[in-house]
Parts: sequence; structure tokens; C-alpha cells
Amino acid sequence: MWNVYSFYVLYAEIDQFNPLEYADFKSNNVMDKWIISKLNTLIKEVDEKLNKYDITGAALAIEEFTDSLSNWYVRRNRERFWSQGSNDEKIGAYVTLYRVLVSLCKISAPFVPFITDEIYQNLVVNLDKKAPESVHLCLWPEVNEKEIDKKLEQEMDLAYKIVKLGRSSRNSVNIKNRQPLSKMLISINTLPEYYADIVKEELNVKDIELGAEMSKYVNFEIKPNLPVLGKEYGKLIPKIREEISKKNQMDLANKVKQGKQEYIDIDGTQIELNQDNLLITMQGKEGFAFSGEGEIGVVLETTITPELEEEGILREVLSKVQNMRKEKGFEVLDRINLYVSENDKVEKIIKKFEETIKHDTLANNIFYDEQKEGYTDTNINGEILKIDVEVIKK
Amino acid sequence: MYKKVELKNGFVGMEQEVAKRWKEKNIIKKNFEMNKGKRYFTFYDGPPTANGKPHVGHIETRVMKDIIPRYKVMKGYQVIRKAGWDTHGLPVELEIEKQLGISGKEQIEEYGVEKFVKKCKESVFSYVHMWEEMTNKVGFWVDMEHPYVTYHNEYIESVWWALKQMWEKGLLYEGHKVMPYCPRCGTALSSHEVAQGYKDVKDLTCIAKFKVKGEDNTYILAWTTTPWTLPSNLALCVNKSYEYARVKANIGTDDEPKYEEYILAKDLIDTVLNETPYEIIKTFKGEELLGTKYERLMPFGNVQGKAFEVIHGDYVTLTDGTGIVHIAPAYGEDDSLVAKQNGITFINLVDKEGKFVKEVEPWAGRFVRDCNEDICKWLAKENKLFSKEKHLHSYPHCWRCDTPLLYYPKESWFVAMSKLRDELVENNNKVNWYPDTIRTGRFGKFLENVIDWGISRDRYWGTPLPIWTCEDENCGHQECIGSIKELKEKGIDVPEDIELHKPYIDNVYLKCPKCGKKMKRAKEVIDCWFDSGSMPFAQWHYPFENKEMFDNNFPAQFISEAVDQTRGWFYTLTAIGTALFGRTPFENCVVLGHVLDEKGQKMSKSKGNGVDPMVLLDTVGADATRWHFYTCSSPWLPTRLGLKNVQETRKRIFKYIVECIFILCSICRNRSV
Repeated sequence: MWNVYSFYVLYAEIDQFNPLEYADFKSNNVMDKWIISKLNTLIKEVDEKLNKYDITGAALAIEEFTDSLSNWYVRRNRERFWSQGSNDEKIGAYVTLYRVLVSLCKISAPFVPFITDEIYQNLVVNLDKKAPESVHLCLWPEVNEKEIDKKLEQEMDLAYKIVKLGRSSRNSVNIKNRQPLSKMLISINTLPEYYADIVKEELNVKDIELGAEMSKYVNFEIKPNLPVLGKEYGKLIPKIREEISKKNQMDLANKVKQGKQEYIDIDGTQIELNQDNLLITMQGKEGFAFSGEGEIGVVLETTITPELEEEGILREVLSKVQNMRKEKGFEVLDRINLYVSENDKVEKIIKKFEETIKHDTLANNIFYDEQKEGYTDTNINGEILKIDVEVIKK
Repeated sequence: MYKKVELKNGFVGMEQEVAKRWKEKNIIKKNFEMNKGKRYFTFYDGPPTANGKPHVGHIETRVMKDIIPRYKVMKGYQVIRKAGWDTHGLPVELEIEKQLGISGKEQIEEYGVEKFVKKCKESVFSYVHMWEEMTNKVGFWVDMEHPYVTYHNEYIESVWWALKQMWEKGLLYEGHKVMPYCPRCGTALSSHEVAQGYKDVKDLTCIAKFKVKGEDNTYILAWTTTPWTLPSNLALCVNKSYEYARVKANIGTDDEPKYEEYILAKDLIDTVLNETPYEIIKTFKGEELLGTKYERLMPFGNVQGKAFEVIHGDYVTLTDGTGIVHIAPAYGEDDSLVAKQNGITFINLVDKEGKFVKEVEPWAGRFVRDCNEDICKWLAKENKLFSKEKHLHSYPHCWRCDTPLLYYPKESWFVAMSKLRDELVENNNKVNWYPDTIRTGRFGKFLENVIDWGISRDRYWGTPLPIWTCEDENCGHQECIGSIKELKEKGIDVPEDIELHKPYIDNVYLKCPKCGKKMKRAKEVIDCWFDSGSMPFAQWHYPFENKEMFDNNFPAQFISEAVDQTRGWFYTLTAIGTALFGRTPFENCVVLGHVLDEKGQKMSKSKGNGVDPMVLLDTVGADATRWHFYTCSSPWLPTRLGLKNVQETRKRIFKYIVECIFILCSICRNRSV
């Protein structure tokens, strides 16, 4: 929560944004509607849970919301805050985030009374002299049922879940998000285009295929967990292995992973297979990376074509240059000269995408293999390239 | 417009600044006073003792107690949160004994009761500053400026009122509590003293024959390791779920058979009858034996009330003996309990020196353990002895003088909770327990088997038992005093500023309304759990003051304490509430699990794996600690806690803070250039 809050203050301060001037502003942005719907649902849920003394359930609901807020809402909307000048998209983003933070602060106040009051002082008391002087003198925020849109919440939550699974697939084969991939396969059958586009963008993939048959791309290995199953059925283990291998591996794995049981019969003995007595590993086949949770399975095609490799290198160069600007303390709008040296392969690609690089990094010129001091060795997807940047004095 | 977001002094520093602001702007008091005139939501704070340091478990309870009142204030309720301190009791006395380097009541009397009690009073707030500091740091908002204190005269007066209510309802009575007792030293021993003196000894044991009433020649067999308790036998105890048998045994010879029928546990027939030829007539569950009447074994002393029948006890086992236990309620804790549960009466035929009283004619004046042999002989002569043998067993001895201990009935005051058993169970079923299993399980089971509450303590620092008895033995009239006003009306020359403590209150005599002679107070104080269980009304000095406040705040909607309070505060609240007001004084109770170390081990001083609560709050901070307790697991499950895993919790909630502060600072620097 704190990080979203500092993000908000950072940009709101730059823009001198005062939410009180926009009290009646209605945003039509889908992301805004989604997070406001979720906020209302959360206020209701935490209220209901605390009323039933389910303190842990209430706290975990807040934690889950905070995750969606910072890792999804803010992440997906950074550019709206970054955009120049004042426009409805930007105002919508500010108004929404402000409202979410203030409400979140209030419902979290009984749990973490210190940090919430600190945030409240800055967000509310500093702007509104008529507001209660502490979050602990506030009443519980009202729920606006009209703002709750369950379908929207479910669809967006699904998209976010797919992205989380996609990220973990990438992690499992160690491919950075900046390296574009050609295709993603998802087990579920429908995902509206709006969300599919978000998923593509977030996971940096070119294409999505829905309704994919997971067993084509995934190896299931299901073994008896010997310390558990062996204790009870020592001698039957070989036969248990055989029975397990006869089952549809995907179905069995899914069933058990969801905490359900499967029964097998060996020489008249009924044996229950469950999460505790089986060891299940699911791994993408050669060229694929897999992650799954419940009904949802996500597979990324990991083959990197020469085109994809070039694009990956381009993204990496852009990121390294941006970082260097930041490290050297350049102003956001400073124009620069970019120097690259001593790696022909990467330099060739830079030349090919020169215009893109100049545009994105605010570089007026790119110099190749210039003899000079001050280069930094930089790792670009395994290739070492010397890079330097300097500000062009006005 | 906005203040720069940064944590110059880290989370802990931020929390200190926030706490400072609360103090300067009086925020806590304003929160207490919010929603005045609106609906009340009532929370009762279970009082801790401040003569010991707080430990990390206290942080857990404080954190859980805090969240619900805060939430209810936000929901528009007026929530009164009065802190309390539990100040009486044996732990306080023991601490002072240690300080003074003395031990035991004799030395306390020698030192002087007044001086001793004063020391106790001074010590009860030894660590109060630590408690206050911890409470402030963890952000538990409770009114510590106006706490209830169980040793204050007003509080004691309310407790007296409660005792008088019980007295008038006939719930207070004088009875016996069986305690380990050294006949040489003439004192009772506490359980930890008893544990020090177990020794293996060889004792004469016997199996006695109890003749079934209305049947010729049929006997119930019961084994005892203490034949001297047989004259006081009042019941026989079986386990109703075990299998028992009626056998026909030949105790004569093959040529001259002589038959008797015996009742005993089926599995023990061979061990007990040994060589004696027998045949089984029938077998049946112990259940069928319940209520069977038998003839009294030994005719000494006068027994009045229910006695001489077969009852059930869970503790009866088949490991030795006959599966049937002889019950002499005066000389065993189990015996006493099971007898009380079954309404069996009471008789004591042994004096304080461990000798038989005059009614036990054959052995009057002899030390009971020396009579075992003679008692067996007497039984044999009367055809009431089945067998006898020497038996090696472990028996407690006095750790001071090595004398074998006796279990001995000590005069004690009781609240007749067993009379209220059904009401207790019924009231408890209306309470919402979190988790619900406590309602019917741990707590419900306890109430179903509730026994009378022994409330008197033969000690010094406590609420004095307000019962006076006429010194004239023939009169023996008793009065229970329920207020200071009543004390002054009935007492002789009661000082205006009488302090309701020993030794002052012991100097107050009443004039007997029956015979005009002097009445003297019972010397005991009461169980300090009765004090804390009285807090719903005693915190307001009800009924002497604050009637409306009490009416508006009884019962409480919410209490929360650790699971061990099912035998402590949860019980005493329920007991007193049921006896006085016919209901449980709380509607919702969140039961808290214990705090374990990171590896799931119990925290203990010897292992050194405890976490100092102050270190926790000073390094990781209150918010992270609170969040850890809320999210780690359901409140009633054990919480694993260590500095490291609270730090992890903090990372989880405040994941990107460092990164964001960094970006923020760099931007600010940029703009100022």
C-alpha cells in the first residue's frame, strides 16, 4: 500500500493535482471502473468479515486487493500519470487512485493504525482542513452498490491471473519479460479481446491461442510420495505406480492439485490418492514453458527465432540506456548523445532500429565505436556492449 | 501541497512520530468519546497482573483486543474500553516471600501480616510502566488512566455484593476439599510440594467384599491400597462402558464346596480369583451396575444422606484391582470429585493428627496407617475380606519430614456451581465462540462436568471472605456482609476508613443478631479468579454507583483472550454471570492460540527462544507485528513468531517502499537542481 501511496504523491505533487477540485469527476476508463468496483466489494467484504470476527479473512482480503492495486492497476496505468499536460485520462487516473487510497487507508486503520494515519495526514488533512484530524476519527467508508460490476471484476481478475501465471512460466525457463515470444497457449476457452490485448502486452507475446489442449505441451510426472504412501502400502507400491500411469495424467494432476481425491483399487484394496501422498511435477515439453493453477493452464512457446532475438536485444538496449540516464541523474526531458562500441552483432541491430532508439531514449545522435573514456561494459542478453550517454548542453 | 513521502527514521521512527501526534492532539481520548449517545458496543478487557513482565503472548492478545473496538467505532458505535489490573493472589504473595527470604505461612505471621500485605500492595504495579509502554507502542487503545484495580476498596465492595447475592440464593456453603496433608507438620501441601516426595513403599492391600443389598451370598469386590479408608467407604465406582461379570466361585474345597457369587470386571477375573475355581453366570456392561445398593462395610460413625451405591467414574481402569474402586470421599481427590458429581454424602473418621476418631471404636486414637493389619483382620472375621497382600507402590511423603502423607479433607467455602450446571450449559450455547468447537468441546465439556467452585484460600493478600460466624458454638449463626454500609451497621466499632483487607478486616467483629455474642470473620480470602470474573459489574463499582453505565454495558459484545482462559477467566465470567444475572456476560469470544517460535516450538526461558516484546516493537515496529498476528493463521491456531518472519511480513506488505523512496528522492533532487 505504501508504495502505491508514494507513487501517487510523487506524481500528484509534480502535477500539483488537487483531488478536491475534481470531486464530481466520473471516469469512463475500464481500469478505473474495475478498481472502483473492486474497492466497493472490498469495503463490503472487510465489513462483513470483521462483523463476524473473521479478522484473518478480512486482513487477507486487504492484502489481495493491495496486490491487485500495485501490481496491476498502477502498473497498467503508469503512462496515464506520465502523460503530459492535463486530460481526462490523466484526471481519471488521479481521481481514482486518490479515492482508492483514502478508502483503503480507512478500512486498514483498525489493523495498522500507525502507517494509515501517517498516510491519511498527508493525503487528506493536508488538503482538506475540514476533514477529521485523524483517520481514527473517521467513519467506515460507504459502499456504492451501483459501482460494483461483478462481470468486469471477474474478467479483469482472470486476465491478471493469466499474466501472473505467464510471468511464472517465463521465470521457470529464465526468459526475461523484455524478450518477446511468439505465442502463448491458454487452456480456457474465452477471453474478451480487450483482455487478450492486455495479456499480450504484459507478457510481451505476439499471439494468443485459447482452448489449448495442455497435454500436448506439458509432461506430467506423477509419483507416489514414498514417505507417506510407502508407510501404509509398502508392498503395493509397484502396482500403485502402474495404476497411476494408466490414468489420464492431466486430469489426475488437476484433480489432486485442487485438493480432491482419486481412488484406485489394487487387489481389492481401495487406495485414496491425494495431495499428500502423490508427488506431482508438471513441466513444459521441450520448447514450452508451463504454469497452472486450478482450471487455468498457461503455456509459452519458448523458441526464439532470429527476429525475436533481434527484438529482444533492442528492448534490452533501450532498458539499459534508460537506466543509465537515471543513474547519471539526467532530467526526464534532457536530450542525449549515445555511444556504443565493441560488439558488432549488437551494433548491427542498433543501426537497424536507430530511429526507434533515438525516439525512445531522447537521443539526438548515436555514435558507433568512438574512441573515448567513460564507457560501461553492459550485458545485453549475453553479449557485452560498451555504452555511454552524455547530455547535450542547451 | 503534499508532504514528501519518506521514512527518515524507518517504520519505528514513523510510528513514534504518529504516537506523539496522537498524544499532542488527544486523538485517543477523542476516539473514546466518538459517537457519544449512539448505540454502545461493549468490550471487556481481561485484567493482566502487573507484578510480572509482559511477554510476547500479551502482544497477541492486545492486538486482537484492539482491532474490533476500533472497527466498531468506525461503524458508529460508542465503545468504552476500560483497562484493568488483576492484583490479588498467591503469585503476588510468593514474589514477596522470595523478596523477604521467607517461606510459608508461619514465617509470614512471624514477619507480620500487616507489613506483609503492605508489601504485596506496593508490589502489584512493579512493572506497570513496562505494560503501559508496550500497550502504547503496539497501539492498543484502552483507557489506562481510569483502570479498574481489583484491590481497591470499591472493587472489593462490589465483589462482596456478588458473594452476598450467592449467599442469599443458597449457593455459598462450607464443605470439604481433599488435600495432601502431612499429619506430623499439621499442614496441607501444594501439588508442587507433593511432587517432590514420591517414594516406593510396601503397603498392605486388600480386596474387600461388599454385600449386595437384598441378595444372599453376592458380593462386589473392590481393591484398596489404603485399608484404613474402608471405615469411611461411601460408594463403589465402576466404568459404565466396561464389561463386568457375575461369577460363581467355590471358596471351599472340592470335597466340601462353598459357593459365593462375586461381581468384578470380566477381564480381571483370572487375576483376582487366581486358583479359585469359578464359572461365569453372566456378563454385562458397567452401566447395569449403576445404582446397585450394597450393605455398609464397617459400622463406625453415623452416615446421613446418599451413600452405599454403585456410581460411574471415567477414571476407573482395568490396569489393576477388580475394575471397581472403593470410594471414601474424604481421602482422595478423585474420590471426592466423583462423590460430589453423584451427590454422595461425606464422612471423615480421621482427626488432624492422622488418628481415628472416637466413633471408630476398635482403633480410636491410633495412627491410621498403623491399623491396616487390624482392619484386615476385622474384615476377615466378619467374612468381608476376599484377600490381602503386600504391594509395592509409589506413595507421596512429606518433603520436610518424610512422613507418609494422607489425603485429608480441609474445610473450605464453595460456590455450588453444580446446582447451576444445566443453566451454565444452556447459557453457554448462546455464546458465539471463535472457533465454534470451543462451545461444545473444550469449554462445553468442562461445563457439563462442572463441580462446585472452591473459592476460599487460606492466605493473606486477597478479597476477604465476608462471612462472620458466631463464636458461641451452640449458636453458630452466620452472616454474609454485602457492603461497607452493612458492615458498619452490623459491626462493632468499625473504623470509618476501614480497608477491606487482612489484617484490618479480621479485627472487625459483628454482634450476633441471634444471641448477642461476638461474631468472628472466617479467616480466609477468596480465589483471585473470583475478582476478575466480577469485572463486568465491579469495574463500575456496581450496584453502589454507575447503575446506568452497567446496564448499558452488560453483557459485553466482545472479549478475547488466550485459550488457557477456558479454565480461568472465561469460566469465572460465565459462572458469576450465570449465578447473579442468569446469563453469560459476553456474546462473542475470540479464543487465541499460543505464540510459538519460528520453528513451531513452544517459547521457554530454558531454551532461550523467546522473543522480547519490546525488542520486537522497537526493531520491526507495531504495524508489521500486528499484521503478522492478523494474517499468519486464524487467531485460535498457534502463531509462529520470530523477528525474522515478522520482518518478512513487513516486506510482504510494504514491498516496494525502498524502491519508491529511492525514485522519489532522485526526482526531488532533479527538480531542485
